[in-house]
Amino acid sequence: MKKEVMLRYFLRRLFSLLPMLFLISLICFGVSKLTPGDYLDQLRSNPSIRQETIARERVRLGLDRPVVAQYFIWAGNLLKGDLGQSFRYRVPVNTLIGSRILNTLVLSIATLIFVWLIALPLGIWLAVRQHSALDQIVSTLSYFFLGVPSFFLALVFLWFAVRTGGLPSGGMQSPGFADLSFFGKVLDILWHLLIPVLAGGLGGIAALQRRMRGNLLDVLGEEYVRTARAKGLPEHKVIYRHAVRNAINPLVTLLGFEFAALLSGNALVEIVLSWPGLGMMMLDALTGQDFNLALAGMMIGALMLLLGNLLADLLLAWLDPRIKLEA
Amino acid sequence: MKGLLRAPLILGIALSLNACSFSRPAVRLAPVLAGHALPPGQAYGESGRFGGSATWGNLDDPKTFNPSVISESSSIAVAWHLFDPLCEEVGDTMEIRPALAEKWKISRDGRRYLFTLRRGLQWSDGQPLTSDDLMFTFREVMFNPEVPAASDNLKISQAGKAVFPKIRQVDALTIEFTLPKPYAPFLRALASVFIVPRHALGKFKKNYAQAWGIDTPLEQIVGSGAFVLQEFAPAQRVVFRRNPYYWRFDQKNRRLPYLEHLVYSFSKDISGLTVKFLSKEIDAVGARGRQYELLKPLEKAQNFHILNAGPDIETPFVMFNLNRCRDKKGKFFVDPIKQEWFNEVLFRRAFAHVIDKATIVSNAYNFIALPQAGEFGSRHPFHDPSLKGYSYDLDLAGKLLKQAGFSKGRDGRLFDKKGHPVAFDLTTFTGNPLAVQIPTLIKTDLAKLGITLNVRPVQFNTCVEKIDSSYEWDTMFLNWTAGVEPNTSAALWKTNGGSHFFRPKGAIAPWEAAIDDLMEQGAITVDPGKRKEIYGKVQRIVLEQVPMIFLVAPLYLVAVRSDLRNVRPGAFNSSVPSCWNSYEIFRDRGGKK
Repeated sequence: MKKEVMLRYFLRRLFSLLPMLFLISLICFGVSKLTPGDYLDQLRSNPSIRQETIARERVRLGLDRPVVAQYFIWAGNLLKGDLGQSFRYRVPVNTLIGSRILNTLVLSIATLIFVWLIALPLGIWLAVRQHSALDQIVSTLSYFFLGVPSFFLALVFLWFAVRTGGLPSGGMQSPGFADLSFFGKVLDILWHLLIPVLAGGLGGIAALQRRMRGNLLDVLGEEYVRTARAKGLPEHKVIYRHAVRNAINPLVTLLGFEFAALLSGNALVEIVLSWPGLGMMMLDALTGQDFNLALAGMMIGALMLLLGNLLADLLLAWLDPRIKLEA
Repeated sequence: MKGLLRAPLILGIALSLNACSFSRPAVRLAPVLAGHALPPGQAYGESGRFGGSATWGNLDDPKTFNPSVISESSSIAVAWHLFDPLCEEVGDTMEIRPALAEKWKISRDGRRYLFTLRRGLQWSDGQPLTSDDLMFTFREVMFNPEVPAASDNLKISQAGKAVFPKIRQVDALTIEFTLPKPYAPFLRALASVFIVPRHALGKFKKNYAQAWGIDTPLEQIVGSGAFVLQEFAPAQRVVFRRNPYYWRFDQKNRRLPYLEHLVYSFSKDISGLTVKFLSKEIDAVGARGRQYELLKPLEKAQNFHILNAGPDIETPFVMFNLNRCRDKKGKFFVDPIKQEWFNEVLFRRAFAHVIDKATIVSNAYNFIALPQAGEFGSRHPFHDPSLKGYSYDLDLAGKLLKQAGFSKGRDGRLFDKKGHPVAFDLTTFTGNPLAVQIPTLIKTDLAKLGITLNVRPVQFNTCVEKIDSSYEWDTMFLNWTAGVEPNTSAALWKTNGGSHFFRPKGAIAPWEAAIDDLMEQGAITVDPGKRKEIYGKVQRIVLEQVPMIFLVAPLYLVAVRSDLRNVRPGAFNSSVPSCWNSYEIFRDRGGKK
């Protein structure tokens, strides 16, 4: 029964995404068109490029048509899954994004695992030892890492890497990557992941650890916990079987947001550490006004956010029996 | 480099005057110019040893591997090692030398160019390279209106229309271009045309521009350059492998290149590249300003040295808006009060005298720059050393302003004849710290004369929009990139050039008309001595009338690992400034060469 309700809920939500996406596409397109100048400005500023060349490029890129027509052509192609051609690269945007998306996912999923694997146990462990010296130390450190932006951490680590000479100074692969065995390749990427994951993850651990600790402390103060203890339940059962399960629910919503940030959340770290992901390419597309590519970046970001929210709601419904979905 | 007014790598120079002659039936031509000072197919530098690899840092990925449609430097930087032109510009001296062509002859009237290929040339897949490929490159691609090729500089203006030269296949090794009129920049324009293989690209017709995008399997890309592509990892690296069929030989008659592999390693900004250089991941890195300060003390310990490639081609300048026209609604583009100031040459000269270039050199560039008088820096072939810029002289500036009717008020501000306080905008672009720092220094200088300068940093695109279409600006700070060929600046200097930014419309001043004539003459004068004279006159007029004030030329420095030999950086080649001669660069690890 519940499964059926959930499926119906899922489909309804998925369906309601469509008008939302339509609105988002309108706004993204409109905002992009409103930015002053266009891709051809680089050509216009170069006196050795002739006017007719610029006019020809305008036609090639479809920039000569009315904005409304441009939107419908673009949106029509989008429905077919075609994000258009990149102005600068002259290859389909799909190909360009495809070539980078895996690298970004490697970094963001590694960071995600690193953060959750450390922050949750750490938060629980500290909640149980509230006010201990260790709790104080970790709290202080957490405030520090919450306050320091990830790109700055990346810079500090980079400086450290260059000074010691042992760690890679950015990038995802060593120069001789192509000649390595499969196992060697995996190790090489893991080695290169070390700095970006630390830089991007320490702030996340600080934040998540604080939430986990706080939630668990709240739950531990509730009456049913006291009841459980009074019944003589062993302490580890009280905490892990009952308290933690309830304390973790609010974090699931957070996981949904993490999903939304999978493709864009680490852009700054990517840029500082020359990680060959989407971040740099999208920034370039925006500053260079490579229209289709920049729009694709915005649309993908919006889609990920919507899907992330949906995912979080579903996970929550699945984990928390108190939540009822309305189908 | 923001691509500000950056001209491509064409441009003009001293050609050696060798008297030669060739004849063809019916017409007898006596050429005035010919190419070769070196034995055919040889390297310029010392002989080295084979093997090893070298890694260069680069800021940006290639956008395409198709050498005919590229115009931005990140793609040229890759195509450079894969393809060759008929004749080439030597990267440090900018001389024109034979490349795929063994020789050429130019008819006395400057309209016919006969090019002869070297014998036995092969593409990197072993196929012969013949005049069929030349015909394909020029007729089917570069001169084909259906292909968006980067061929603007091959067009020759004739009776208001820009037309391509005619091309004729003479035999398997020879082709002939016939120009509608003498056109001096033609040879240098050819040096920017990479010859492409007909057997590999002939199948692409209308969609030629999409051929050989970055998603192409690398083994399909066939070239004639020193290297072929082995690996491309987007945003990470390009690995080149030695081309076994390369046409160039060293002094000991061994086939080049020396290096087994050449690698480009990408990082998004110059600091990232410097970090990679210091951690020994790359072998060479540009060392502008702060990089130089960081690198210089480490030279010995890190086993590299810093080479000076001379003044950079990118020169910051300040430009006045001389436009006196109204827009469609009858509103002046420039406030009529300000029009009077900007159109007063004494005012412009006073402005030039107030700019303290020495302070810009010391404060903005840490002394790694030289003051510059005109468009061309000291290593430019058309540089005229007798041209002296405006000295920093507040007294003289004050006198000039007085002469033009300006006077200082009691509050120290400067007022014009009609009593308006002199205050105006300097529009500059964001994204480059220098583009705010230098205008701020100028603002301080002008304040000494009581002039209020409001520095307005806007997006680069907005700058372009202002000079190109809205015309609403007072003065503008931008970077100028001079080409080696002075005719590339024609669009800026000529009143009908389409990029006559300081006065895009309206009445033409006599000095502008004089520049028009000179630019016209310069383009059709083939004799190098006379050309230099003509462009010298243009620079003199510009200096006298100061529609633009060229400020300083930063020095282009390159840090190179010491065991790399034959590295001869040149600032003029903005795409491959320090590895343009990758075919002869080698690693000297001691031992037998």
